[in-house]
Amino acid sequence: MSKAAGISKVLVEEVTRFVFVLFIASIMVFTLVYASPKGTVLNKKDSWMTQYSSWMQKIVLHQDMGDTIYQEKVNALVSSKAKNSFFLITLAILVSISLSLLWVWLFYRLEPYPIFHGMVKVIVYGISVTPVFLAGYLFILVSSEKFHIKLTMDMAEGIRYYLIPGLLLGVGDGFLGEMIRHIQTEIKGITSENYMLMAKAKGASFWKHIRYDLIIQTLRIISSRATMLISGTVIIEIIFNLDGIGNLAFNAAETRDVNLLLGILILSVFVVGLVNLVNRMVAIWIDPRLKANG
Amino acid sequence: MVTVYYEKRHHQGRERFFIITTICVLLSLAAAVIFSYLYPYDGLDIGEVIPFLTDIDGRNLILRVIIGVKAYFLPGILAICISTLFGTALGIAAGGIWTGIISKVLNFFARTIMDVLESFPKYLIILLMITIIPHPNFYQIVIVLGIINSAKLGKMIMEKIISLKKREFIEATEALGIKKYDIILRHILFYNCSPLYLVQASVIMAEVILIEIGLSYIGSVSNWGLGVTIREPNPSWGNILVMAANHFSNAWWMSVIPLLAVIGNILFFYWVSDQINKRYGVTAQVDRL
Repeated sequence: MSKAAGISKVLVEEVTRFVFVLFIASIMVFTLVYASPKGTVLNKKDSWMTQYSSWMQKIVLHQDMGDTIYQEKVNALVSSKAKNSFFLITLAILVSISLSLLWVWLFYRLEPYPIFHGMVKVIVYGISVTPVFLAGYLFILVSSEKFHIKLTMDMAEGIRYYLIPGLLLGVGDGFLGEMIRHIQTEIKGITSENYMLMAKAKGASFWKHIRYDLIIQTLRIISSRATMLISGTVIIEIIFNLDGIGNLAFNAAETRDVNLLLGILILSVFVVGLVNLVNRMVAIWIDPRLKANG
Repeated sequence: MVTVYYEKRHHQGRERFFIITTICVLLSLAAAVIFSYLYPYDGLDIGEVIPFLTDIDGRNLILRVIIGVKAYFLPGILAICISTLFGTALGIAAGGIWTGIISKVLNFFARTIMDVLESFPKYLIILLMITIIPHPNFYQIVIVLGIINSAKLGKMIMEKIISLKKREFIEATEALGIKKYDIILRHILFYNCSPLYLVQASVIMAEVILIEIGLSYIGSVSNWGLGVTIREPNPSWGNILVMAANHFSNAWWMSVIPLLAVIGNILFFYWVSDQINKRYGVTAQVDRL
């Protein structure tokens, strides 16, 4: 079987799995809302089956997730906010990966000095587990009171305004610590492989041999941490008043807009599933042996 | 020979340090929990403000931090129990130790459910729960948290079962006629999966602390009662930190003691999980899932 035929077979399998995961997720969240006593969207007169099938029909056939309590289309509203959150999450991933790589480099440099190494490790992990809202408050206080930096809501300033939230999302609530642990394990795993030892012994380029593994591992890290990042946007966007899905979810919860929350949740599951799908497909494209491992 | 001897001594020393430190910290945590339940505290001991010792209302800050342990301790234990229960069930179902069509269907569903649970962003599902439950409290939230976290444990147990079921000792137990549930409970879960449970428990405990703080913040900025954690005047690490953050510019020291408690506790749980990882190589499995 050619490589393309093998990939297309896996693609079909993965897409089927993705659709099935979405289907089960939709059943779970819908049942949760249906079973709740506060059915603001769902009335208890119709059966679960009738309501679920009409809800799904609207989503699948008309891409319509219903209306918010302010009579706006849920899917239009969510997709308009999603790009800001996407920008924030991308920044957070870049910040987090850069800092983790810096830490791994530092880790190998400091290994001969165990006390110093231990101290730096505690400081880095300590900063990482600082509650993100407190770190956000601190940043706002320092930037506005000490350095007189005005944090505006102007998207034209884009990267400048999103840089601090991106940094906090990529570092806070234990995210950087998890990332460091993950990258350290992966790099240790790759460098201890026999082919790497052979390449090192022959004096061949380290990066030339590691580059494909690095792409696979980076994608794996991003896909495994996607939910954590989407979840983290809620607190970050509330603190910095960013106009993304995290803030939208908070406002939806405040106004008890169950329909909007359902839309945000389904979209998040869709995005996470898509990221996982892309991760698996790219990994299999680069290394077809991964197919056998599942 | 001498190097080997010193390495062995060094290893034994680190092992002893790990055990002694873990026991000491767990004992002090247990003491704090018992104290927090026995001490009759109403949170109304308002007095004079003393730097580093009291909060903005003059209440004893250290006492509030100690009593604040109970805000996360029992919910954390509940989340661990739920996660252990569901994770084990999902892991066994997905591990495919039985044969037959029902087992295959169960296997497929368990894997899909684990994928679904892993793709739910936690704060979003928590916000949905707060919205749809009439009078939400933190215990209901940690039940959801435990169920979502069970996916990771389930996947670890699944991997372990898949890797173990072809090993000779499992084949030997089957040949001896030992029942399947006995093989799973004793030979796989008890003897081989204990480190997984310990890692999962310490990670969940750290997570519950952070979620409690995050939800306290959400409750403090909400105008329509999204707060589900312990409220003032009763202390929790979350509401102590939220209050301290609002007075950061004129009383920065108020944040220091609760922050140190939070960081110290979470780092301790991460450290325990790291040490177990190092000894039993759990990380490699977790991160490769």
